[in-house]
Amino acid sequence: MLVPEGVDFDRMCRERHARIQAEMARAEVDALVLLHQPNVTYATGHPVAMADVSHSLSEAPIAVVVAGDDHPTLFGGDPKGLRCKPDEAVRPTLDEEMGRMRAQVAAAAGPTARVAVDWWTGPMLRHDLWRDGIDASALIGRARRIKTADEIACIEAAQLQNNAAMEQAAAALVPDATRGDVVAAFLSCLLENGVDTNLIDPIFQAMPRSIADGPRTTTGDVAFPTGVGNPIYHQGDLIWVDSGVDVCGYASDFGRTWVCGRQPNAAEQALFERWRAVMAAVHERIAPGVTGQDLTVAAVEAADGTKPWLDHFYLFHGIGVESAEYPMAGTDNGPEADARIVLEPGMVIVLEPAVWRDGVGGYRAEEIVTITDSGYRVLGGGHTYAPFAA
Amino acid sequence: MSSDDLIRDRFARTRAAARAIDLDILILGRRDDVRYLTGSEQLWTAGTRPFGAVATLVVGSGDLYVLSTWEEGVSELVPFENLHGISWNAATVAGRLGAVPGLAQARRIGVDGLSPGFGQLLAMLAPDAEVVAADHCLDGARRVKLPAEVAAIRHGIGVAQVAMEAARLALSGGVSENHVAGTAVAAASRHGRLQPADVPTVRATSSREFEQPKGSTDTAIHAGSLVRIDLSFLVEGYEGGLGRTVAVDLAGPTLNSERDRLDEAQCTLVARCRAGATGAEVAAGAPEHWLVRGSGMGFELPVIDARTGHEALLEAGMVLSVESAIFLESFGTLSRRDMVLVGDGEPEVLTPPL
Repeated sequence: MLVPEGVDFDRMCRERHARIQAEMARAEVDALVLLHQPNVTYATGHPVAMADVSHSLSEAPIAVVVAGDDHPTLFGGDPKGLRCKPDEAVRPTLDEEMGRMRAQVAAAAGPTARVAVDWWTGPMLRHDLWRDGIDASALIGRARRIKTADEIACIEAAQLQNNAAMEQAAAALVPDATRGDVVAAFLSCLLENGVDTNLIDPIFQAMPRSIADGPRTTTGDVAFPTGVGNPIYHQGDLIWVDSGVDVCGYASDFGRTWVCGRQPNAAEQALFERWRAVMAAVHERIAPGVTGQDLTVAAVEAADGTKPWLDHFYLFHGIGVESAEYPMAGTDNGPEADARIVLEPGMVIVLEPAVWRDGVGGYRAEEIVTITDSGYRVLGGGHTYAPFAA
Repeated sequence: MSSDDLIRDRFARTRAAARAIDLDILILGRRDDVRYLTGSEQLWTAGTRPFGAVATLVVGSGDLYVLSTWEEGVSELVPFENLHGISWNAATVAGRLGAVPGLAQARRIGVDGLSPGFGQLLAMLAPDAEVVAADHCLDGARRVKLPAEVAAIRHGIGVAQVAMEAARLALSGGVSENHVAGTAVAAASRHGRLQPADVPTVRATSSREFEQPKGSTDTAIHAGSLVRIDLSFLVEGYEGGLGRTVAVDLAGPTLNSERDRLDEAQCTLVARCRAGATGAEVAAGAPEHWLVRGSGMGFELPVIDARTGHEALLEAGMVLSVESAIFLESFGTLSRRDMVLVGDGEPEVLTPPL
């Protein structure tokens, strides 16, 4: 695992454990059984593996946290360097192994313990394991909301790794290159640099110039992120880029718009200027106490009354051990829900406005900021907007 | 067979399996299950995702509903009006799922996973329904591969072999494990669209302990190492992979004879993977360390090792990942993993021959 300079990994794990314990006490929960990998990461420090869901649910580590214990228990995985009690791997898709797990949790937390889980596999449903109905994801989600300095440093380090790999990808995205060529440049850089995990199949999507030319959507807005097969890029393609990579269990979120093989024309450059105006207007408002709705209103104003983000997503989302987590503003939960989101120091959010002009196309990019006592700080900022002139 | 035919065949199998256990509704949250049933591709993300109704099948009518805001990547089995666009609003999600014909009256709903939150939602939307695990039902549909699935797996293995060759060529002169892993994954990626099935592994084994985690590190590979390389990818949704041990600047009669011993052990284990064999019979031929598991759209059942899966019964048409390993105190670990097609007679080794 790549521990960024200045990060005290052990302290970070201790502080997270204390937060989980506090949430468990508040919810009167005796034990957590965690299968959802970002929750396992939060509880134990074990990063999400770069593996498919079928492998993850069959083989990935399980974390058990017992109220009052000093350390969580990690079943399977690689416990080296982690602040947890290692135990033998358990495969949660096998009936016989989950029977063993039940006995171990009962031994640690007592036979009548109130146990919260985040995912039931088939064997857990069949054997009626921990069906109290307490949602461990919601509990861990409350613990995850505010980030410590160590956590913020990990997110920033992940973003810098993401930026560096994207430089390689940008150089590879030339006319006649395939998506596979660009992904090869991106992934080889990530792996070479020792990043824990690539979190999503990276997006290098050639966008339609008009919504009507793109895939049909349920919202009538442009489709993103989509993509099947291995397309070839052509000169002048407008490419929306999105990726997430993990350092020390923390996610990053890269978003940019590129033009393949040429400089942007005047109409495309104008899209970027409009996007920058939106981003600047949002930045200007960010401070503790400001609501999600304050930011969506600022964004809409800067875009002359239109909504400058994708209809099926949000203006911003939180980030931490998951690449998109709460809070989210600008969603279909509506303005009242946005007004209930109040920014606090230690929150980390990803701003992802997108502007669209039908016939020209769109510009979309992302920036991560953390809320500070007096305003905000951009994490992993300074990455180029090339080929657009800043 | 066109991919549309394959998608229809998988759908028919799954629906029949759901009928056989008397399900009214089948709700799937796992990407592999969703693709198997509906032919629809969802964005690959590492690890698990929170459980949700990504695909919903009304077993009686055969109607399918899929979570997607756009029609790209969605198969012909799902009409546009049956797309459930991405929503963050609990009431919207509940309204759409509740509007699926027959869900409110359902007596039995099968799921491939469940979270407490989703369990509460189902209890509200389908108050009379018993919610049951559908993993065995899905396994029943998936375990014996159709010929087109075997062809897809062969293709995936071909891509993994390209990665393996690139890794072998990169293994020299003090480069790091990470460098070799990056080179291997890049070589595979240039072949087209793929996603990691399991963690790409390039790892020098240790002469001190057998167990080594997956993945790679920034450790430089030095002469005299036994390096475990295991690469597996999802290509068109099907997993192809293999594992080999490469000796770096290390040769000699002892190593050669140990390699022969490993190959012999693997041959014995593979030969036991015949139709009609039980897990216990497979285990009887096993070396010191081993694992046999199903493979298809990723990691599948059965799982057979020293302590589990002894009741499993192998059937012709299953594809298995078969791995053997031996620990050599003076060198490290020698291992190999192959993919095998179970038949009535000799199993066919789909990876390069032993």
